Amino acid sequence: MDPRRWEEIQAAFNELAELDAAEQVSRLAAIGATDPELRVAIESLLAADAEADERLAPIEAALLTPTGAKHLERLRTALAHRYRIERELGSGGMATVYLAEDLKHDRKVAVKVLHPELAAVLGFERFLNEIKVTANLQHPHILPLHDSGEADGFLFYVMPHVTGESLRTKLAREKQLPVDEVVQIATQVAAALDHAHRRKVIHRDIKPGNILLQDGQAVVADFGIALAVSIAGGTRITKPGLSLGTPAYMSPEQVTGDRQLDARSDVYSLGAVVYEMLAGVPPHSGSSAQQILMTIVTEDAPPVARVRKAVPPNVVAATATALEKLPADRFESAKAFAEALGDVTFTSRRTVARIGRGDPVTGRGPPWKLVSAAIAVGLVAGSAGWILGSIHDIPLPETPRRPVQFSIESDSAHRISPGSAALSADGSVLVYNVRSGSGSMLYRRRIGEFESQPIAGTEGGFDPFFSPDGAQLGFRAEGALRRIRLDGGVPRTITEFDGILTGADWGADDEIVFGTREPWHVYTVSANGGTPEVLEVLDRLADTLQPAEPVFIPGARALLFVAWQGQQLRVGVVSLKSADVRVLMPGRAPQYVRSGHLVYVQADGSLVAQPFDVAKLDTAGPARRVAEGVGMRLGVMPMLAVSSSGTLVYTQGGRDLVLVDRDGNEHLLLGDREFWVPRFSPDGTRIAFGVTEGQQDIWIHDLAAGTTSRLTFDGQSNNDPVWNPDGTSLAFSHEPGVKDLYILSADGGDPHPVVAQDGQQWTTDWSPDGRDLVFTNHTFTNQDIWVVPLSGDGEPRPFLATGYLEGAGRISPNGRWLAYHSNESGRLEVYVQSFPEPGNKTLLSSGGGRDPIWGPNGQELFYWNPQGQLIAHQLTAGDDVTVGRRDVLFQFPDYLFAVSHAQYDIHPDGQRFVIVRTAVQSRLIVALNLIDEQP
Amino acid sequence: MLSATSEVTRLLKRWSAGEHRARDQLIPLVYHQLRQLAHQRLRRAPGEQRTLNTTALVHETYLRLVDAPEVDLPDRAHFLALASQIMRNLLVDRARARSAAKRGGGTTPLELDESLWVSDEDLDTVTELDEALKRLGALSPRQSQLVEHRYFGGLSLEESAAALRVSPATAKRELRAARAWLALELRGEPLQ
Repeated sequence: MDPRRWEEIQAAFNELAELDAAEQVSRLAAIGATDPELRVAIESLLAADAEADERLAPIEAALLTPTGAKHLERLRTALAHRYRIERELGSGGMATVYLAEDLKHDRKVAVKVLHPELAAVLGFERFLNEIKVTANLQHPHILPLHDSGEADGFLFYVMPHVTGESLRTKLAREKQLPVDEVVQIATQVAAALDHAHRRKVIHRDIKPGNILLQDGQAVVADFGIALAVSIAGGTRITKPGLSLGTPAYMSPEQVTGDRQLDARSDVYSLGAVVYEMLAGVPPHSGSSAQQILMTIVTEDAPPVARVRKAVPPNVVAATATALEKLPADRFESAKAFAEALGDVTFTSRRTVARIGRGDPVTGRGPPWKLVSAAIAVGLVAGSAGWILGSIHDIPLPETPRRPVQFSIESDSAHRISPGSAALSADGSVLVYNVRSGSGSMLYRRRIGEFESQPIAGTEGGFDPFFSPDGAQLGFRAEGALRRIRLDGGVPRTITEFDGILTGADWGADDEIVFGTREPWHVYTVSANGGTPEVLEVLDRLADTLQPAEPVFIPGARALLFVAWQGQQLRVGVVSLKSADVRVLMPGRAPQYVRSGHLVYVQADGSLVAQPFDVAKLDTAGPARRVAEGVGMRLGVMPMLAVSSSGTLVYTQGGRDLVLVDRDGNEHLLLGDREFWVPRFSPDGTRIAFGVTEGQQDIWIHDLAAGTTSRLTFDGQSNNDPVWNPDGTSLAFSHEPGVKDLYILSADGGDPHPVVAQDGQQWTTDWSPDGRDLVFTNHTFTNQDIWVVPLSGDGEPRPFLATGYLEGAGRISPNGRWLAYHSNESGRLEVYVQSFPEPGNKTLLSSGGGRDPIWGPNGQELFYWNPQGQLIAHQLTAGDDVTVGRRDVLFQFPDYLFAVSHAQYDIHPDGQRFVIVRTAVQSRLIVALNLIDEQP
Repeated sequence: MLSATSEVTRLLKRWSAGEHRARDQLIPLVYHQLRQLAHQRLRRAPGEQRTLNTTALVHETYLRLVDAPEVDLPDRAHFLALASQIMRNLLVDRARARSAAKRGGGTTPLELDESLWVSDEDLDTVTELDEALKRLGALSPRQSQLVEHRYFGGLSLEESAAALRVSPATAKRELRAARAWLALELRGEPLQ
């Protein structure tokens, strides 16, 4: 059709669309008389117009339906029997506060509702139990807790409505407060803290926003909430996107993720609040949360007296003592702090400047493991942490080099992909590639500043590498290796180059080395341009070694490289003087760092530092594990950048396969690959699953033997394995082009096709009698459930095919019912319907559900709710379905919600699940001074 | 943030006044804001039934980048139209990266971690809509834009009309025909 014809059709359509049916018929007849094709077109359009809303619904559902809009309404309904929500009072890091009428007691209250993303990762019962402990606190300066509970997925707690204002509001208005008032407020807060501390309750989130002022009295709110959240969230609370504590008021031990906080942590936070009341700014500030956290750990706050001279010496000294880095150097209690504030004779006990280090840890003990699980902050914040590795046995330099690790939450302006990133030799600048709709570009970011700048002239640039002095960059763009000043400008071409780059490096004397694959060559070329020369010594061995990713060993006329010997990647070294070539050890992404170590990544994602003798070009001691869980892109490429000063930047992990018991206790089975759809064999001894590594393949893990082997080798994509009832064969989706349904013997062999038709076929179940396969037919706009008999005509037929999405069909153990999910109600819910003939249907889930699987006895159905909880729903499914109680088994927010596949399965013993757990990938970890100046 | 806001506002006015270079300067700013918001938003609701909620993303981008009181309807409309175009590119990019990732990707530098924020279903929808819009664009660029405004930016009819400099009545008529056309495409029975 050409545009003019479309205009014509449209004009007629517009005209007819305004007419009533009778008029339409007569106009169509008239049009058809002269232009029958036009008539057909208009008829189609009119028909489509009538159903356009319905037809476009999937698009609107995907793109337009707001999720948050109904939030308040849902909350109102959920709480309607006890509280009438009037309006929102404010919103903080953990909760939103609403003004409400307490219907039972006829009073105004403040209802605090935890943010859904936080509530989603908490164990509700634990949270509510923990919070009750603090409900017992009775003190004139503690805001009591009236009530707490859970309703429709909302976690809430209720406090009296305070008519005054928060200290936050007051400080925003008045900046600095009179010293007398500061001391008064601090004394009252300290009294509240002391009361709680003596009952072993630590506040953990003392900040101006939690100190309310009413009729001249300070009242502390949110006692124990932070702890309850932290306990109920367990390790999940470190997920990015969640923030616990408020950076400026966090104690150093909170920042470093110490879970054993005591009263002195609250003393520190109160000290920070006092400091702000006096100085007008918190003791540590910065343009980002990371910066604040870094300085909390590493720097002393400027003395209050420097900012405000009129503050009495005892108040200055008391504040400084409360803000000591080490808990042992602070006041023992909040009460002692308050007394010092009121005691004009108080002077600081601090006489000698501390050398900033904590408890030494023996060098032999656990490897220099990075803190990461215990980091207490996510959100915009990253975290800073101390690693007290081998510090004690090296001579202390003037400024002690503390190993410091912090993470950058990549929510900030740009996404960082350290797989295509470089660090300057001194570790101070990170350059990385940012992809965008209009192309890609290199960005630079100073470590510690957390603001990134685009480098003009690097459009389309990838694979950056630094010049030795850090002033220039090399990179690949548009079929050439180029160079450019770090601050941007006009790029210069080093050499035209048309192929796949494995890596490049810039050595002394402006010598550049780079590797290509297929063919595998390593070249050298001058940074000032010229014709690249093949490095003969490696080329002679190219066929067996497949050398890639060359990097210089500074000052040694030698290169490190990766030898791609089949699937096994090894670190190699070649001397450019003697032409000696040596393949050292399995590993990838090697780099020599100035401390005298070879740093590389092992296949399991652990980062290793091994002493390396530059003169002999050989290892000089055992490898030590420095960090774990370095993420691998596509399963093989470490997402890592290393500077020769030893700074590391990396991201963590892919997915894990975990075994989880009915109480939610996790046990790691297999780590760090892109796992899909695990399924227990009928006898429970094996698990079949898909792995994406380039293409997808099916693997089988033998639980008793602990072995994992690959089942498919055909170079096609294979996924979605389903066992037959006796465990001898697997049905799966096989992808030459699109996914079709095949069957393969569990011992291997050639697969044979079962269903090939439009769209993708995802196998979901094999009937217990072995006769039928259930699969999801997936097209761009729809998903339906189909069944194919394995005998007879073998003709696939739709079981449930509507305009809604249906999928994840699983047959009950007695073969009479099919559990599945459908979005016919507007969101995915779990249903059970009679099988093999559809008919009698029962809705099981409430408030959303997906990915149902049957318990082995057929009397339980498991499925996930939108809060990431695994539900166990009792039911009997004989002639009819009768539903019983619904229990939350456990919370597992890292369950991989994917497409329409159950990414978990239950063991035939009914006691264990295998689940695909997504690892956090969006956090970039920067580790400084980790590999220290000693082998 | 203040200076960025006034910068965007200034660029927007210059673009409205016919300076096309200003549009080019706007694109990266809008792009980054959108992407950042999209990422935050979609990651914040683990397990929630997610939608991309392009309307909220585009409008929040507007609120964050533009000094609202300084700007009249045509400028606002231009901004939202541009943002919906960028939103579309961004999502189509994601879809490509995802499908490349699934197929092994060759030399495409994939950011697998990024693709997490959009579900496969949604990406399929986006891809299909994008393809259909390309075909519609060959027939009538304006109608393609009308649909783009609606689905990738949640523009109102008035805003869309202002951005395209047509009357709301024309916009309404053309959108209706475009929707009917699109419905036929999605049904797999495209207009011959």
